[in-house]
Amino acid sequence: MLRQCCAGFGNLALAGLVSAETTGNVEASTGPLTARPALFPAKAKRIIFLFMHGGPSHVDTFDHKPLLIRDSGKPLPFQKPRIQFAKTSNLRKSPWEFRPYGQSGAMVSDLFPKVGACSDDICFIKSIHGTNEAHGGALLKLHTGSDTFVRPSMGSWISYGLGTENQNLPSFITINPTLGHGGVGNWSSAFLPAVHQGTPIGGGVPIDRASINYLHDPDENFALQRAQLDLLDGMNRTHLAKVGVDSVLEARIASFELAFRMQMEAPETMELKGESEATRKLYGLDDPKTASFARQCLLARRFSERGVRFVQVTHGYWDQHDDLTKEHGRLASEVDRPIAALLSDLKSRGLLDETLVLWGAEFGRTPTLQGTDGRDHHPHAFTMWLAGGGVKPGFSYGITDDYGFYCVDQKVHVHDLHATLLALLGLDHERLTYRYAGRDFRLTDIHGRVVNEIVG
Amino acid sequence: MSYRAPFSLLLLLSCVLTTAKVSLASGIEKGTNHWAFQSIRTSATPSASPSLAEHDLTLDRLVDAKLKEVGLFRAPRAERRTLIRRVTFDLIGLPPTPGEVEAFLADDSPAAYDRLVDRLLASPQYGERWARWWLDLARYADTNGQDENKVMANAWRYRDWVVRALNADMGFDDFLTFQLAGDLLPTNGVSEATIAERTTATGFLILGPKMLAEQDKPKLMMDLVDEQIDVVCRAFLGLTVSCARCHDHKFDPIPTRDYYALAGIFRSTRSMANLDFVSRVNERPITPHRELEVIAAQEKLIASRDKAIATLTEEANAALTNRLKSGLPKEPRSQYPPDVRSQLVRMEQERDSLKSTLGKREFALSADESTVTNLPIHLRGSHLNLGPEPVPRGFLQIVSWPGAPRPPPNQSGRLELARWLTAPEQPLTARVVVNRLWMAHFGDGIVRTPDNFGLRGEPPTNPELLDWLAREFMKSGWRLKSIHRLILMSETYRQAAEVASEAARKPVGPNISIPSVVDPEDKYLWHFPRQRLEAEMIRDSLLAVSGQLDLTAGGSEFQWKDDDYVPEDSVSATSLRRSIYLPIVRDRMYDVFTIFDCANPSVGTAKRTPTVVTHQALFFLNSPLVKQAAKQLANALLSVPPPTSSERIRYLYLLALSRPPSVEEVLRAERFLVTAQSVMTDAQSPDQHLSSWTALCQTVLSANEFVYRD
Repeated sequence: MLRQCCAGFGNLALAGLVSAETTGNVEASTGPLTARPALFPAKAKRIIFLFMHGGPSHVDTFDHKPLLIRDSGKPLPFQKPRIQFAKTSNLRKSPWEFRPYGQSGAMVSDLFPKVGACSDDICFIKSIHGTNEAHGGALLKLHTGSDTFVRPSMGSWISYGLGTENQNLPSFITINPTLGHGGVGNWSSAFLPAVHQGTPIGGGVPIDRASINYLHDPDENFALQRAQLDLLDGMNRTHLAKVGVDSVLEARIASFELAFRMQMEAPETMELKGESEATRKLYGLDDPKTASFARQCLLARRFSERGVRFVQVTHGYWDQHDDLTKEHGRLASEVDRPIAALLSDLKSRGLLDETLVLWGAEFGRTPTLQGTDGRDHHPHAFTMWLAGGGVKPGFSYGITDDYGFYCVDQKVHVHDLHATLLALLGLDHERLTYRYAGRDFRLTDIHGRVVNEIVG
Repeated sequence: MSYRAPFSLLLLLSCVLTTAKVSLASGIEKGTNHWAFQSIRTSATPSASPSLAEHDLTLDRLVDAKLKEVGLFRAPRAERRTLIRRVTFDLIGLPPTPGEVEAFLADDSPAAYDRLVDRLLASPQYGERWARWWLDLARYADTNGQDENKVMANAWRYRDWVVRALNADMGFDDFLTFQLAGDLLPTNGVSEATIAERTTATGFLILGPKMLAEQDKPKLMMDLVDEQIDVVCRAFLGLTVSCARCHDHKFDPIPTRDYYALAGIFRSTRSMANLDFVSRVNERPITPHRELEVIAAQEKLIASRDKAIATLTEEANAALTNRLKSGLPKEPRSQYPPDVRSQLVRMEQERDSLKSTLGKREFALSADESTVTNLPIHLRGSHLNLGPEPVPRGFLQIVSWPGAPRPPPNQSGRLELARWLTAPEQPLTARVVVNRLWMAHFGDGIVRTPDNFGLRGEPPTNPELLDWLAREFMKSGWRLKSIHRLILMSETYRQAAEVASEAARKPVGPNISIPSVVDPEDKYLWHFPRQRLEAEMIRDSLLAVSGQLDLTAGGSEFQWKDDDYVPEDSVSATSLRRSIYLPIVRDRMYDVFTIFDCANPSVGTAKRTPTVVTHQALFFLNSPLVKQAAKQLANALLSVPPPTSSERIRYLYLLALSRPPSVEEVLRAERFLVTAQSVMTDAQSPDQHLSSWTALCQTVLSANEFVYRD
């Protein structure tokens, strides 16, 4: 085991964090956040995950089911799952029309006209399935691969595997995360070194006031802080000279200088004033309806641009057990424009090729009716989509039954999705391991299949 | 819709039913050679005699023997100032006051250090610091976490029980037994208070995170059992038994059969009060009978008062209706005759005063017995694929001996599990515990994988030392404080942390090795390992040196009710009490603790991994906690004599760092005060004198010397 000091943002954690068990883990010989080459040539360098908390309905958005329209009101002609979150009644058609978009002819509902117009850049996976029918379990499953145990988030695994390209910013940022349904568990590094945990921006506060905790000096006196840092440096060096060799103490000395630098770079990244009028319009910053999510998407682009490895953006709350027509309509209208803007903005900046955008939620919703205008949780088949970062554009994978209830072919479990995301980043989900409590852990546990069919 | 391929299921089935038996039998045999499963050796090591001098001789002799093997020497003794700071943090989690340091320095008797250790071990703050050590392993929290983050408003009773038990130096065998089976111990002649304590202790089994909204309730129950097996086996055996839920343990001789033998014990235990849509955890009343009787009598009295008030009100209303002939007015009471009104007021006052003194029926999280069940092996961990026959409840086959306790037919077997864990023949428990105590003092254990004593764990760096400590521990009646004393009195513990750069690089003689090359990790303790303060110590120290710390002991800081969904933790950021008493909200841990690597309260944690990350620097630069501490400290320095700045700086150093500053350090601080004032504007700082001292205090509180114990 090496006790060694490293430089960089958050990079000062002792390599392998002084646990003898970490021998053989990937960062034993480098700094924990130093950018590392992938195991094999990577299609994507980073990920932006647009997380739709609550579970948008797949049969009302991207999984077009003509027979669901025909048989609306009839009972589901086959057995419902053994475990259901709540009771649902008969099949229920979508309140929205679907229409074809682009050369690929992808059928997208009128909830997402602008995203629909980007279909030729998108790779839909319509056969995602998970294992948990409650939000908490499903969120944790999606984010960490486990709804039973405390495990590192996929962003943490990716940070652990690849490090990050900008040492003045965190490697894994989660914007406006949900505090319920597993909360921190969804962006925690669990047993991985703490540097790999997600840095939350906001969560429970309006996004224009959200920031990284303790980033701002409440006294706003940089000159005083500079003087303090100089005094501190002197004190610490005197102490170090007295106690002899100690790489940890040296690392802590350096951490204050890095913190000072981060205080400069992070607020600059979060400042949107420099964005052009055209960009602001494109994302919908000027429209109160879209402004909040527009800001989140713009932040995601700005962090990605500066080398942050994994950025998650959360929007919600898509949990329409009732009032689906109105609420799905409202929620979609908040995100449709910003998401489409993010895709086209990344593309025009030449970033889409190396940035993988993932859209999706913890589950979909039942094709059967709940109450008078609702749909229940549905982990058995739902749609997520990917864009950029080496996936086949204008492509659709995975087939559900006539009503979108179960997957019938080309099934993609959440573990398979994880394996595929890692593969696109040039990582092997079976080789990205961490030794903890006597055993090598993986994001995909003992599961996972890389869905090579969607790789471009 | 199973995700798993049927083929693998078939494969597994055949594996479990046929080949498994053969390979396991041989696996267990192979495992018996592993050091951790062998009995604790009596060996040639002399056992400690009652005299303290003898004690530390043995410990040091064992450590020195190893050092000699690799050609190293122990460092010289640490300075006395360093020593009192070290041992005070170690035992009570707080820095020594300047007065305590002076008193220790002034005491030149040979027993001064003994007295210091004894004073700290007897301090009520000992239990508050060491309860944290145990609560990490017990994955203590005040809320459920996971999906439905509900308040467990009685969890604190378990925490306070741990503080009391440690302060009282309860034998660890009892400490363990109460937590696993306090409800199953004989109650004849035992006071109700003691029974309540034992009931409260079983909260240990209940505290874990659970998917309360899991709709597959049989799965919920098996996940719960799994969590209990994990926490129990990690905490007491230092083994990862949970691996065997789905398959035979890959590395350790723990077959799936053993897992389900244990699982039967916990499945026969009642942990949940119900399995509703959002299920509820089990609690039991702990209020003594006599108090219950008083409460019942009081309630009866209140009810009779209520009735009398109602009767009088009815009569008065009837009379009023009669008099007004226009129905009852909106505020009838204002129109009652004055004597009726005053009588009502008097009666209500009486009732309200009764209500205000009404006692509460208290509950504690606790385990109960349930239907005794033997579980079949769950193939690949799935409750939907059960093996053909139930596995009799039991413990690990690898650790068994003739006459070992066994679960009885009519009880879950928790009590026998506790007996098995604390039996003299049990090779793991005592080793695991003393190893963790050692780790808490030296930063690393003798076994450096404290929750994995299995085949994949690291072997002990000094097996004789580990076994000697384990024996001493059991011989002392499993008293933690006696092991603290053995460790703290040793020269090994009292040596300096400094690594003289010369000695670290240059060989001193032909047979002398270079320590930093031979043993860069300080496995053999050729110097005292410097350690960063734990998260709770950092916060408590900031509050202590700035005079803000509230030392009130025990009780709950939570304002929420049992079963509430958890709102924000609004307590931690403003409370001035010791960190141990702050509520622990799973998945929303107080960020000051997470920044400094506190244990995740959803999993039992034997070892925290200290990091150095930028966010910690940002915390010292910008957090309200540090700014406030600095300001309070500056206020204190400025408000009392001594009046000169150099004397104030001296006192600041004594408070924060337990030592006086050098002349150079005083000059540097004085220069800083001048610079600080020069960069302040009137608008920013109306009181520049105070602000510049605040800035100085903040800097000293941010220093490496403040956050590391040498």
